[in-house]
Amino acid sequence: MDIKAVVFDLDGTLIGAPKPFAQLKEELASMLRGRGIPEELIGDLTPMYESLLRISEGTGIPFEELHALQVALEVARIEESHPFEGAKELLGFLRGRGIRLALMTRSSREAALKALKTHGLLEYFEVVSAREDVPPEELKPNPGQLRRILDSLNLEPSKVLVVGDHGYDILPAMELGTLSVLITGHSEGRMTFDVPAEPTFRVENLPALRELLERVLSTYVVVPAYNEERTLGDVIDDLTRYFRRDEIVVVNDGSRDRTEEIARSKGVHVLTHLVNRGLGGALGTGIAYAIRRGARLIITFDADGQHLVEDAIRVMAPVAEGKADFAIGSRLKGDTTQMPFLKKFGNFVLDSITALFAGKYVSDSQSGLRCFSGECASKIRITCDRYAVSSEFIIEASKAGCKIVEVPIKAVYTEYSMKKGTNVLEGVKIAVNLLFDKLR
Amino acid sequence: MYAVQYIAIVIVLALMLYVLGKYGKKEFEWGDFLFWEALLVVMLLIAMFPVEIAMAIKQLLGLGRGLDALFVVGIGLSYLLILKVYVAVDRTEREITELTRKIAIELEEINRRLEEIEKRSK
Repeated sequence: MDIKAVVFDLDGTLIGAPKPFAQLKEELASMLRGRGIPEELIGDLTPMYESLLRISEGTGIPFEELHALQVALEVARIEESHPFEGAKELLGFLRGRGIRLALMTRSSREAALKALKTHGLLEYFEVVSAREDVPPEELKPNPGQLRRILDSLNLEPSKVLVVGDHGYDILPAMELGTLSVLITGHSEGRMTFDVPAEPTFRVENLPALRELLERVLSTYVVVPAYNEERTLGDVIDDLTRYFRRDEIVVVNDGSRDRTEEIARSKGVHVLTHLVNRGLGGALGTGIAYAIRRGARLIITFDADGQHLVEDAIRVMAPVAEGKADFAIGSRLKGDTTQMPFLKKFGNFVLDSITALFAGKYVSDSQSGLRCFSGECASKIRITCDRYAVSSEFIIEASKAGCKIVEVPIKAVYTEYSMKKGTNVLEGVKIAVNLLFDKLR
Repeated sequence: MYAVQYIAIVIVLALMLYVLGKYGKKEFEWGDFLFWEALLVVMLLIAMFPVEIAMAIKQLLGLGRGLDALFVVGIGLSYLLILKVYVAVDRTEREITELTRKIAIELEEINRRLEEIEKRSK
């Protein structure tokens, strides 16, 4: 993937401290009570910074005065803090890959800098954005703080990954359209409340995050293309929002139109079959090439424009997280309102035949959007040249002991993709092919 | 002999010559040549002595009338041949795919290397 920068949260993500935020709140509350501020105005101090702004407005006490109390408590807490296992190694790994780093924290600047200096992490960061650096209404979970970081790095949101341990880190990422990772296993330094958010990836801790990054930074997208001059250009442009050109492999399957010329003009890898070999042949070539280049993840993506690149990222998530070896984007698990009845029925028949051989029922065995781990892909032996390859992938992956999962996706049924896709006759051919293949 | 026997004999002999020619032009391996010639010899024998062979098969397998037995065996043999053709075509298809794949991958790798060399020399 084309990740050019990673924006880290600090507390609960890179560092932890034994003193929980709940205790910090209690200490702040008792300081405020000591200054004669009524209990009903203090409330539960969730979240602290915004509560102090509210108290300052309500009491007329200058905000700086109240804020100084919070900063002092935070700085004292940092004295006992420690970096989480693998933090420094992870930052070193990312810088080594030429990825720029930024910090986005709701802590005070003083506490954040102290933590970074104490643990020898400051040198890794190009941008440090603390809460005093942005107006309160821009502080995360609002998107303003992240937007400023993106502006100062001069990067598009799709090229940036936000890493945090809380919904407050993920919400701005979702709003601006960056990638995001939620760290789920750090209990120290986590805020006292939860907010629901949908991160791109979830990992347990920093060593797991490093593994995830090693995988996603070596992801190849295989696009089989046979006479796809009308859609291929847009599909490649869409993919380059998230993937490097060097990671996109177009297999021109003996096209007679401008498919090869268009792919070459986009600067991606182009593998040209001198004669048309069919979908299976093209996918086999693309996957073999990706394996030769040491791919850790391999995505297959149709060239007819029926897949969304955001769905490709959702499909790759379980494999990138190490929770599965083979993920299939299922059009039947997501919104099926656009799918014609005949297609639904045909899919069901082919799913059933596939299940018979694979010993596993997959709700959309004919889906063209999938993701393999490099290891699983190298265990699969593909012999079907034509459309039956979709079922063969499942049968072979199942035999090779790869863990298979399904991820709901949305299929875009344009008139064009309908014409290019499988029809009833193709469906019958796939079924016959599958049966013959097993008799061989 | 019936007229149909003469026609059959002429066709089979022509086919035998055709196979021989293919072998001469190295378009057939020796194994293929032997297989097809043996099959044509059998067909030649059937063309020459259809009634006797049909009766022999009938007595051997106990199938209805003599000629029916011949048809059954003939159809069985045809299926065997179709299978042989299917396997051969299938193998060829796979070889073509492998070949196409190898060319595609190696061409791209060569292209990439040339680009790198060009970049370095600039």
